[in-house]
Amino acid sequence: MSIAHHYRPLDCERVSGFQRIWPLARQEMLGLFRTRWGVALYLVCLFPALGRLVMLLIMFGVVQIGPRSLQNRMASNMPASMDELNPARAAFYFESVLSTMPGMIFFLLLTSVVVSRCVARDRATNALELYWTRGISPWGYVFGKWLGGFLLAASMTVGMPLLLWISACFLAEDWTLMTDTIGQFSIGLLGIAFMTAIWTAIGTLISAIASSANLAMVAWSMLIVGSSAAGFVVSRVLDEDSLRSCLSFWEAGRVVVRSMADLPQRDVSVSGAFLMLGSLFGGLLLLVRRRMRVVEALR
Amino acid sequence: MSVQLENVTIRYGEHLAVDDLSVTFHQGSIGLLGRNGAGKSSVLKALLGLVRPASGKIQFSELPSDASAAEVRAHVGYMPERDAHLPQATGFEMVSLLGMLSGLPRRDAWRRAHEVLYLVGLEEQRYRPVSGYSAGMRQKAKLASALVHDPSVLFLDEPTNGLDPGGRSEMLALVRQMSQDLGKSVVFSTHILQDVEAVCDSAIVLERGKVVTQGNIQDLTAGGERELLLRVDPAPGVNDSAKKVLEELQLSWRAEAIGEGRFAVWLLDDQCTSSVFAAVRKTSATVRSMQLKRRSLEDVFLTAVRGSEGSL
Amino acid sequence: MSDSHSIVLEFDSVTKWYGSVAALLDVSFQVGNEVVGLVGKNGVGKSTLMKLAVGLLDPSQGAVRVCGSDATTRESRARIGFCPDFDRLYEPISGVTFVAWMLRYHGVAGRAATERAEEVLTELGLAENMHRPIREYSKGMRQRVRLGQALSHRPQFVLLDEPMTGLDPVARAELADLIRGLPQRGVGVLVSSHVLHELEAVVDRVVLVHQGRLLADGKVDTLRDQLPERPHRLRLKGARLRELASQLTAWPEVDGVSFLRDGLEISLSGHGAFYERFSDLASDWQGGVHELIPLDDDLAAVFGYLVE
Repeated sequence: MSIAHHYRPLDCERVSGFQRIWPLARQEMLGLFRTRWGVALYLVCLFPALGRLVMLLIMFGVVQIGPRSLQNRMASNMPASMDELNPARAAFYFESVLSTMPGMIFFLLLTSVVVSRCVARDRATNALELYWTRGISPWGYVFGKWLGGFLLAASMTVGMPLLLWISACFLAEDWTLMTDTIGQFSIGLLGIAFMTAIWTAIGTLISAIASSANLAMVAWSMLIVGSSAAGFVVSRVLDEDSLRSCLSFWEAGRVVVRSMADLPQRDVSVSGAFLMLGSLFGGLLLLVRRRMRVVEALR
Repeated sequence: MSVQLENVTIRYGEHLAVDDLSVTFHQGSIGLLGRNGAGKSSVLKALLGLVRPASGKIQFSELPSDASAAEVRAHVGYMPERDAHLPQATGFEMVSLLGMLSGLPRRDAWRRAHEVLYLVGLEEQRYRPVSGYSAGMRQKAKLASALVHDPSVLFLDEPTNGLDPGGRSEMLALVRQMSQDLGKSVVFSTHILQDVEAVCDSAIVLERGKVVTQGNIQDLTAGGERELLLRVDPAPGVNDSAKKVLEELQLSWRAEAIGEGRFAVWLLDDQCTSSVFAAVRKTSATVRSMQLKRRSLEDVFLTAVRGSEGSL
Repeated sequence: MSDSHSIVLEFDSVTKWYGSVAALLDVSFQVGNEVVGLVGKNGVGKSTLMKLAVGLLDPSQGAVRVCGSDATTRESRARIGFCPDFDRLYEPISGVTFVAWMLRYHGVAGRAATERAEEVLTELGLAENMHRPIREYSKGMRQRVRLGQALSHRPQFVLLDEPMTGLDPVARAELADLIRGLPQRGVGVLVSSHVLHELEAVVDRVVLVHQGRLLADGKVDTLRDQLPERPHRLRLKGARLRELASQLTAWPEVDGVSFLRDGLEISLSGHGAFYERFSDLASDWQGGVHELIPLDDDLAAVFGYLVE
């Protein structure tokens, strides 16, 4: 094996900052699709949105399935309390994402496999010792991991509502649907994007603290489901509905998005929701700082 | 590129890991030796910018003195001791991603990954997942990751760990290529001193955070007096050939028998070895091997470390 | 070398099949009251041999005997000590507790187990630290705990798999002394290692396994001489190297001469009269020959040749 032939001194301009981190984010984002199971999982998580799409197609008469009476009912205007089933209202497009079932469950499914394990898996194979001795900082690494997970989750939470809404705009008879809903919808979508960013950030931080991938997955699942259950139970016991958004991780996010999009909701505490998410995020950030003292990775 | 440490002190809380260390790593290969806990890994971490010294300065000759840690690491290659690989990645993906994280543009990273995988001998396995590699292949993958961004300084931590004898000699040959043919500064940290003797030009021994001995390996292992070690085949058909050889040698020099067919001869300065050959030939025996006695690096190490136990 | 009535481990024409793959083919060797090194590439053959030696597997053909009886029987278990190369210990308990606990598998319990554990760990130099939890131990100390576990039930045969990994030179030297002292205490030792020059310092004999077969068995010196047809390689240092080189290339036994950084490398085919002629040449060489070193007298070179 002749050295001169194969190994040449490197002569290129080094890139800096974000351009270094992007390949890491990209790898994290696309990692799920390397295996058949991963692709299947992703498609399963898109089910609720696809179900809504079918509903849309039925409502606009493009597709004829089901009994005629159901179709007629669905095609007529619904009273305001059924906003979630009315394509002329912005809430219709967010419902598959924000609801507890199926929204939260499928979000949990996707993120527990990807986001909650992202750093913990690297810790298990000691990849941290390779990553942190490169030309990026450890926080740059965490940022890259978060970005990849966020983009993957957002393809579901932001991409699907957008797809539904654009389809509805084209399926409608005229542009009134679009002009009526565009204001609320775009702000709501921004809100969902913001919430997805916060949620995935919290998941990434948990992954950075946990000592194993399984532990991270369990902690993440318990946080979402457990806090949801806790919020439900406590608010019932104390008969104070606004407590739900202060205790339940998912409810808090949902409340924030709905208030941003100016969607009607009652008995909620938006400030409580912000407080809860903010303190969770801040607390985890401090824990990660301690856990990630670089010395530990190279012990 | 050379690296200079000046009066570096590293502390972890109360524990003093490195104590006022001043040392220079020049081009060529240097063995970084020391007991577990002597401060070797702390020195490596400081050089990689992962730990900030409590005092002192670290200067890379071709980098500005205020270079950020990430910038330093973009020009330094590190091969960790423990098993480390990216989950789910193939050999090529791992090496190219790590190259991009060191600042290489995408196409250059891909090209370099191929080049470097050919260099270490992983060209046939580069598209297979690293998690399926054998121990030797994983070591090579780690070395490839350390080389992908063409660093001028390489830190290798126990590179022959877990390798069988064939793999070990391949790895050592690669390290020699790095330092001799490619002109890199290689810092070789290991407990296997014979590897250091085989590959490195100089060595530094640390004990409890201080340097207890350093220098060129040839100088460190030079024997004291001019003691020649001989191995002699007996003269065919002659009884007591060994005894006769010893007698002949003792006519001119101080000589001792140190084993079956082995002798030690103390030459005076300026004496030529041809007279030794002649003396052996007189008895019709044959010289099988001859060399100046050297200390082994292990002896140097043990003496240095045990000697410091008294003074520290 | 090994007395016939103190043979501790015996492989008698052992063959082991995994399906149609032959992990070991007709392997026979003995270990007596001595330290024997086991050398071979990482692979199925070597690990199979080790598992057979400690009675974890049955041979497909042939027999593995420890102190005369089959290695897989219960009574043989009491005579075998095994120190594997993986480093998993129970971290929260102390060294003594760990060794005493392992002794229970040999039927010793309670006070007797603890006493024996303390005794063996003291012999291994852990007297001060044996009551501290294992998570606080250095690598060298952990190695000693594992060795203590292997020796605590007074076995007559011990298999050590890569015992020196991760140890610094001081700890290696101490462990080497310890291993060398085991035969005097009536323990036969088989040490498997990749670090061949260290092995040479510790063992009396070496057994080489390659691709399932036994390639060599004997002392390192004598092994080299069992290969007459291989060329020898020598390194020469001296004055006027170019002239020396041109003279030597003309000799019939010399296959080739190449220039190194500071000397010559000579490859010979067969000994012939090379050494005699060279001694004559050197006794008259102006400037002198400073060094004549065979490059393939150590275990690593022998291994390399055999495995080619």
